[in-house]
Amino acid sequence: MGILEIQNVNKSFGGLKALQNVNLNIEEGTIHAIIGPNGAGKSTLLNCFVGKLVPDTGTVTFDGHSLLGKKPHEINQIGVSRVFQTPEIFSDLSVFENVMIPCFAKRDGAFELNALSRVQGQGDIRDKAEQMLIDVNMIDKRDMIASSMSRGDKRRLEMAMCLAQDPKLLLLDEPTAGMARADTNNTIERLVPTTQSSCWPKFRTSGISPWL
Amino acid sequence: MLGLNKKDTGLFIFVICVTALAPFIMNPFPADSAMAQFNAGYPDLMQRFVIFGIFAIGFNILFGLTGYLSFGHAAFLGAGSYAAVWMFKLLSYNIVPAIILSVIVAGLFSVIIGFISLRRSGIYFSILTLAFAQMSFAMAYSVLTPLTNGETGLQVYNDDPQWLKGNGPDATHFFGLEMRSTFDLDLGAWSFSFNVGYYFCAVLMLVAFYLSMRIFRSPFGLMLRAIKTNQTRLNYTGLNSRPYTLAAFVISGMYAGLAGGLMASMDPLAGAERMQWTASGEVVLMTILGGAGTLLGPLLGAGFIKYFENIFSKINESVLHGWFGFLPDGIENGLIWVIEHFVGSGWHLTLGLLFMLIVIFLPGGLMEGATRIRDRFSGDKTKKDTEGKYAPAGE
Amino acid sequence: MTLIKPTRRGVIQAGALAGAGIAMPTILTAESHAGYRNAPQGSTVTLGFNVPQSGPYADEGADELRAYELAVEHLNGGGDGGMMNTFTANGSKNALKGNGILGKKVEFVTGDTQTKSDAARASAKSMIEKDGAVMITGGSSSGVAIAVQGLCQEAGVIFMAGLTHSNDTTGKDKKANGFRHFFNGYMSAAALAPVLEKMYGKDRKAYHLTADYTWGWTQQESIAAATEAKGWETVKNVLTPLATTDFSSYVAPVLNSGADVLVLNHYGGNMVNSLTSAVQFGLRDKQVNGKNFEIVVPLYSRLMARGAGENVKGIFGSTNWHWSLQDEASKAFVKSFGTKYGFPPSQAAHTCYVQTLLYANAAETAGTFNPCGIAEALEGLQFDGMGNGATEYRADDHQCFKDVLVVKGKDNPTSEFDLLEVVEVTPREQVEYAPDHPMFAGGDLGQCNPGA
Repeated sequence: MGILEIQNVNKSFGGLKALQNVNLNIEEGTIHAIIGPNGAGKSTLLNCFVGKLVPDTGTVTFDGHSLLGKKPHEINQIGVSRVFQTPEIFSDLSVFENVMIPCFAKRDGAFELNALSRVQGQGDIRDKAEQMLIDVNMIDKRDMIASSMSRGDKRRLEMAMCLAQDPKLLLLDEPTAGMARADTNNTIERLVPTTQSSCWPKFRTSGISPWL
Repeated sequence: MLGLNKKDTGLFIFVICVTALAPFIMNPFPADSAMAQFNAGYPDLMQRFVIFGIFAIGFNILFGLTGYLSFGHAAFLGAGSYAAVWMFKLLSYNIVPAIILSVIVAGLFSVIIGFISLRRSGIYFSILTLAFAQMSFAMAYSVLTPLTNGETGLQVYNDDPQWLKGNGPDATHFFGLEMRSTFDLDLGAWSFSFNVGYYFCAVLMLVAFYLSMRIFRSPFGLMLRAIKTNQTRLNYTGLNSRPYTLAAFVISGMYAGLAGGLMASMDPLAGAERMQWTASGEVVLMTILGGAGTLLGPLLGAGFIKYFENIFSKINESVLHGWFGFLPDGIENGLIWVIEHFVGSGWHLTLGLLFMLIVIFLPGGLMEGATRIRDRFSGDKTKKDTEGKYAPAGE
Repeated sequence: MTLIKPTRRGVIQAGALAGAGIAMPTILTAESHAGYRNAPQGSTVTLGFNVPQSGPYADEGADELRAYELAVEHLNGGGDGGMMNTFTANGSKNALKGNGILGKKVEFVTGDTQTKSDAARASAKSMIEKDGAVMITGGSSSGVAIAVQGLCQEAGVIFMAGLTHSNDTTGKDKKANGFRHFFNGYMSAAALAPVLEKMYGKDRKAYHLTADYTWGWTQQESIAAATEAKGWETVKNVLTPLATTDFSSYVAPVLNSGADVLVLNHYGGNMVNSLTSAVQFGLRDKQVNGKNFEIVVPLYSRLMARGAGENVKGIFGSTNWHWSLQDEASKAFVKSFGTKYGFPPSQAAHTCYVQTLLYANAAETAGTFNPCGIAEALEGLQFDGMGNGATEYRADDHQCFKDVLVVKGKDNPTSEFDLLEVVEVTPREQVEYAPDHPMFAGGDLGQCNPGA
């Protein structure tokens, strides 16, 4: 029994059948790549996991929960994180704040009215975010405004944000596209130990990967 | 101090000092001089400065942090005022129950409007709030007249029940301390007014300001800022943005209610125009003018606009003649003809021009201007770079 | 009253600063020697002219301001004196000497009410608190007038209402410190009804369109009551929101209702739009119940007539005063206003000018600016020579009682000012009512408040 089970998923847009009878069973602690040419339906499939799209038929079960009809934040709280194809980060906030937010989400859940406590006083969150930045080698950039970084750095930041949540399933949509060679290697270095120690599956879609 | 970092503590102390000394600061010119026209240190205007300051501080929590531009916040101000005047009519002129009820009513009201409006974002949200506010205005103006007294405005009448009044004062008071009591201090040619109502509002404004500082620096505030910059990411990070925006909406609605309650407490009348879209637009202007998303900006913006509204609108032709009387007639009349269009009834024009200039040259509002001046004087340009704001993109 | 405003006088030691605001006011009450708020110091007295300079009634406001400036000029001895030459109080010549008021030169401050009660009160407050105004006057709508009247009562200064026509101003919202020279909805109705009966007969069915706010309601209530007393039937009353600009959907059902008269209880831009709509629908060319269809506008003003243009021709309404009146006082006023500004004054200008003179005269006779003294001098004052014939300021509600003009849109206007003709002057007796008349009941003047 896998942690992520997909049965008979169909999704069509008008007359176009993007997904047809997709069945997939993913075991804990494994890495998978979904590959295919443009328009093959890789992103559609991913979108069905994170609640962005609802399949026409079929079931998507993660860790015993059905993901159908769940909102993105609910799916994330069950343990599914996603890195987008174009970096989705909080561009007006500092790098450090970007990483703190998923830490808060992990600790406090989907909503917490902590309007009078202080970000400054959250020792555990700050330590964790700091550690994560050290892990992805971005600690020197912690006070930079996120939007002023390079695309590769933004991707690394987004990855750090997802990893900070200790997800059970990490979905990466073209994680190394647009990165410099050195950054690509860094990313791989960062991801591989994660898999080995905690055994989480990862996804990547589209194109032939340089490393898988 | 008080859970604030050093910089914020400094800012807070600065604001406390300015509000405490406002009667002096606002009246820099001798009472009999020609420049006395520009003095703003009379009780009503000082009260307005701080009350609209509260309104703008609250609005900034929603608009400055989450970026949700509400065009209907005057509805909460109005609801707060009506609630307060009803307390005066039913209980007594004591402003404590009035202010408490006005905050509660505005809070409930904003829960309803916010719950519906926040289903949409961007321009649709703005339009929904605008529609709600206009609806409230129309209802207050006519349909709900038994409750609001329509066009005339809700006032306290001599035959109102005022069950708890007993022998209490006939004017709004804080446990006997009348809001309108004023102590005038004459120092030589100068005259300064110290008004109880002003200091009461000022204390509440400081509390409101302090709370807003705490919210800005809290995890909650961080989430609100995250909503402004990328709501999608926030949702995919496991956070539900709806309750956050609703909480921000309700908090700012309660600030507006507090401001409305205070307005009624200083002057026990609530008119429907207080809910009109122009009033909602005014607080938007205040916030943008001062600097949305900054702590001090909304306060500055509120002061700026209220100053113009009350001081420039009162400069009439005869005042101008007084100023330029020394010039030859032809030049004097010409000059007055030009200036006349920018003062008195033309104060809107002056304000509009200034607003344009500020938005074009200082997109961050007056606060950006203040920052630039400070940076110029300290000559400390490198500091910014280390903060990374202007660091080159390393592609 | 702990409220004190010794402003700019009585030097207080700086040492007292510590207790500022809280303990001092009660202690200082005794020092407030003048006994009333904003007692004029030195050789001048300041009046506050609070008129709409922006918003829908800016035209009225501008005309009011002209009248105030003219009045100040006359009080200070300038110009030709205008109605100061014709004004008689309690049967003898007025007490004005042309040297200001009580020997003090009259100065004034102006403010913009924006036709909003909040803005109007803010403006009035700044006049009282900052400029030391001892009297506030103005207003071009009843909401504003009532709001400012309430403020003046609380603050302890006199309020001389400008253009305000709602029954409530001297009805349920009357205040001891407030006085109104202008007429009201009841008087309009009482003056119009006999003329309407005479012109259109007893057997008429009226359809009302009413602006949906206080003034509209009181106006409608008054005119419906007055015409019903003459035998008319009120078919229907439809409330129109104030912001309405297109009245066609309100006018369309009128013809099918069986009504043969349309009463437009609208003012300002509302009236201009609804009347235009009604005329464009061809209502006036129709025959209903075998009679010509008619339109009535209870409250007229010249500025509104100008806005409605051709459409006002032949339409009846009422007005407080009109510049074409031929009595000595009106002629004198029109002459001095025309000399200064080049065109005749509106009824708003007239009432504001009169109010200023009445205030000044009351101060002269009372020998003080104390609001209580002024109120006493004004209450029950019988005066004449102000353009309306014999007039009385009734003590019970501070409302002026005088003849009311019934006017008609002129068929052949000779200028943009010559739009109305006076059809009848309804004598005072016909428009008078008891102070406790149901339409005015519920209010309480209270005590005059000197504010100190």
